[in-house]
Amino acid sequence: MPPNSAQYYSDQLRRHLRSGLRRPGDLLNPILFFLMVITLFPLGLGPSPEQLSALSAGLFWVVALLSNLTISGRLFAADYEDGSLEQLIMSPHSTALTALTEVAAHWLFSGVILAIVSPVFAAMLQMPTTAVGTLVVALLLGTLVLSLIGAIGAALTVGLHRGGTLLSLLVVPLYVPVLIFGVGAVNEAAQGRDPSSWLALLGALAAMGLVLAPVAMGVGIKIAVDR
Amino acid sequence: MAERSSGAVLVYFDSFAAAWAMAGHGPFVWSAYGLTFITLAYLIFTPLRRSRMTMLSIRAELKRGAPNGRHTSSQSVANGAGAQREDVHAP
Amino acid sequence: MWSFIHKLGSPPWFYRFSGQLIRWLLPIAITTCCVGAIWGLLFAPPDFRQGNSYRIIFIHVPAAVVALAGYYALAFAGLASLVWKIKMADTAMRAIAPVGAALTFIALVTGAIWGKPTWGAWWVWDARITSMLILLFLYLGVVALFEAYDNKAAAAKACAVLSLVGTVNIPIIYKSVDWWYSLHQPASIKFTGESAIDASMLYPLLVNIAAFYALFAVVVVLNMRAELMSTHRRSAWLRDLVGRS
Repeated sequence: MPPNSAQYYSDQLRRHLRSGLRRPGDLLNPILFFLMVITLFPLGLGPSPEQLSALSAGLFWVVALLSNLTISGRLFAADYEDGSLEQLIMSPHSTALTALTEVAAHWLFSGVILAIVSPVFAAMLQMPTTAVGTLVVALLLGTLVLSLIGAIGAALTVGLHRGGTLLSLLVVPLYVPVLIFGVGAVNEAAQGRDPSSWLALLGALAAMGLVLAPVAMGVGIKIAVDR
Repeated sequence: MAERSSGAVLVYFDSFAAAWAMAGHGPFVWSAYGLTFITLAYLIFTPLRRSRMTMLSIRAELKRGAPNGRHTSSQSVANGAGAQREDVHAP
Repeated sequence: MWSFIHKLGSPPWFYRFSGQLIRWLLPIAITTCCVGAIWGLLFAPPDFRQGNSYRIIFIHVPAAVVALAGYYALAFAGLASLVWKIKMADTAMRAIAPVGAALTFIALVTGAIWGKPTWGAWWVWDARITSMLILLFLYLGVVALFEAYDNKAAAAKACAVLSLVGTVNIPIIYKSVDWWYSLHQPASIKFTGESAIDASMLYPLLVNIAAFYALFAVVVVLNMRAELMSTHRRSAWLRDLVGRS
């Protein structure tokens, strides 16, 4: 098919979605991780509802970051190992956009699922109910940015020895604005105020990420294949 | 205390002991300056030493009679300068 | 001017040029540092509120300023390497990253040492300190990425991408942290704000900033020379130069 056609990219997306669904059990992994980690907080901090409620937004987002960190490392690894990354480069289609389809699938299976399930976790952390709607929207935007940032790190470290630790080092500084804007939005909503300026900032990050991250990913993948 | 007399500025402290103690803040100020001095000295001397070592080893090779390396300059400017050439050992 | 930049891209030319440069820049840098340090330590008057501990500012601020500028220099070198394919820019990046990290470290440590007598705590989470810490992570990331790749040309490309991504993020990170902490700490305590700095303190500060910039340039050039020497040790031009000297 002609290079850069929309059909090609939607095919690619469908392919990634199908391979993600191959083992449906894997979809539960981010949720389980989340559940286990937020169980630790009341154990560590004490179960007092007021304290948990005050901290809930921050705790939630930190765990979301950590969760994204653990799964980002595997983003391009399988493709690197079985050689499909090379085919990606050699195809006439844009490497950046093809990588983006992979990230999109990845996000749908991690961030979006998390956003959908988040009200449950919010209740466990005693988050005020006024904040939950904002939480879902903020997570949708925020996890998208997290996935994009994680993908940049993954592209730069794919196939490297001890790439996982390196990935964390590279990506954590870049996560910080997402954390701050996400928690800001949820806290505003929790106190009954309007979170839209924080959400707008998250949206801006998402827009920027969608434009810039694929370029960085494309370069990273080319470097990895050239090695 | 420092006094301005006709534009001249004097050292602020009365004595070396006063400068060392800095009215109680001495340990902080001097440790900060000391740490910085050590780090900067390290930053300057490390590359100098490295250059010197390389220079000495090149000189030693030249003396042993390897006037040109096996590679020309255009070849050496390759990725990572992976020089697998083993050194000519002294007879 | 473009031909000058073009010439800088050639290892033999750069090596000879930098040799001349260092001959006068190194003594100047060291002298300026000594002047700045002595001025700040012994000649500048103590601060009304902080007493003598404020003298650390003459290290802390210059280190922080140059550390931040250094990251932009790193990113610019990355751009030169990635877009204009200038090999020397790779060497520059390799040289800048650890130096910048060291300066960031100095800024953080001297900041902590300054904080203890002044505000009673070794560490305080305010916007500038946190952003400095994140800058340290950004630098360490570049250093680690360089080391992780075996192929050094590929490493340079990856680090170029990383440093460019980091550069875009630095203002965002700083603004977001600043905003966040100002929400959490009502502005009664301004940790690093000084309203107006007296001339008797401003001048030594400027001298020290100049000194740190000069030192930064010297150390980066020295590192580049050392790197060039070891990369090109088999080259005719270098062996000639060494043989003749």
